[in-house]
Amino acid sequence: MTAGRAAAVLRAVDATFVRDGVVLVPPFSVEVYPGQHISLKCPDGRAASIAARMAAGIVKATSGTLLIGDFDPRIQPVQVKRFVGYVTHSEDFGWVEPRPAPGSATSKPYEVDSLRRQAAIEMQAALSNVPRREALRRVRATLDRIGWRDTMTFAVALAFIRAVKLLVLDRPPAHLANRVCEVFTDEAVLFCSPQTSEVPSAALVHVS
Amino acid sequence: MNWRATRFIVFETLESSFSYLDAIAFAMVFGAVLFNWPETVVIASGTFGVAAAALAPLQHRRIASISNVRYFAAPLYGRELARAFALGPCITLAVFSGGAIFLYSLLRHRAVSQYGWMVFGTLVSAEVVATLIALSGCFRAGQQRVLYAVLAMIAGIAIWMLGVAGTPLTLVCAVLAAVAIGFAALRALGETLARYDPVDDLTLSAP
Repeated sequence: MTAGRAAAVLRAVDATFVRDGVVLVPPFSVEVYPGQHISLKCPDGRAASIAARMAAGIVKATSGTLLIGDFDPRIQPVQVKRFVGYVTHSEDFGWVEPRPAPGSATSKPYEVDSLRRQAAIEMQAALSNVPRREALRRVRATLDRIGWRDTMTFAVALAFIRAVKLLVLDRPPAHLANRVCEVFTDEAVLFCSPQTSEVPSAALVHVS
Repeated sequence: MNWRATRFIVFETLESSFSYLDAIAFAMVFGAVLFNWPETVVIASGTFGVAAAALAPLQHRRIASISNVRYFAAPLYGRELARAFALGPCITLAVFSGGAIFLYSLLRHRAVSQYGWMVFGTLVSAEVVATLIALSGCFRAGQQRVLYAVLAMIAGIAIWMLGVAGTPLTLVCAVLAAVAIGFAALRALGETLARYDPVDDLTLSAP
């Protein structure tokens, strides 16, 4: 399970999230090293989303230890967020278009010049403090690596506007997860999914 | 300090910062000053405006706008987010106040009286303080959220009452109190944002 030599980009030991006395994410322990692809199987969708946000440093663990690239999200939140790319499942980003129907994902044309996509790049560049031209170059490079051009791959490309070392995907569709496993062989990737979904290319870690 | 991010967040949240109740309150105070209505009308209108500003935590539109997970996923400190979230409502209030003063000058064909300047200055100070306190309530739930709204209302009305007499001395007192309370409220908002865990948008029905 451990790739050994390199330092872990994510190390969680009994990390838990509790809200109002209710355990929303049961304790989980995982270590993710560069080049490793881990699928975190959570009891339900909400637990998966919260676990993904914990791994991205957005939500802080209530108990246990969670270090991201040796940074503690409780005291070094900005360093952590520069380190991690987070791809949300919920389409609460105003710019994400409705997900294409199954089978049509590869045929959907990619228009980097469309206003919505330009606005999305501008937003991510501004929030990450990356020059706009450099952000556009990184998006194009990531999309070229993935090869597919649909809404979700665009979201992954946006995550790589920052020079991230860990990519966290919240409940990704199976086809996207498999493609990410094929393409991002040097990067650490963490998929957070409910028990029912499948990510066959990644090592499984169960949260229960 | 990431000014690009601040500018972006201000533009994104500006629309939700607009409140019809605030606009109505400014219009009422404007009317009261313009037509020399009794002081009680001015006081009541301003109190209504402060209450409207303090009710921000109960407005779903504003909560949804500023609790979006994309802001919390960005490499920004809580204090940077706090400044950006606070700027939108402050800009809106300044525009309302400026608009009222401009309309007054336009309709009366003369500059706003000293009393008018003092009243609008006091109202903006009171509403800014109420808004800054209320913003912390947006990131809380239940009774705590209501308590923040009440606290914002009390602080805002206190500042409004301090300066509503419309003299330079009362305005200075109101502004000084507003700066002190507003600074503390902004710091508290930064702390709130630094500790906030954005999970409220995740429902039990998530697949």
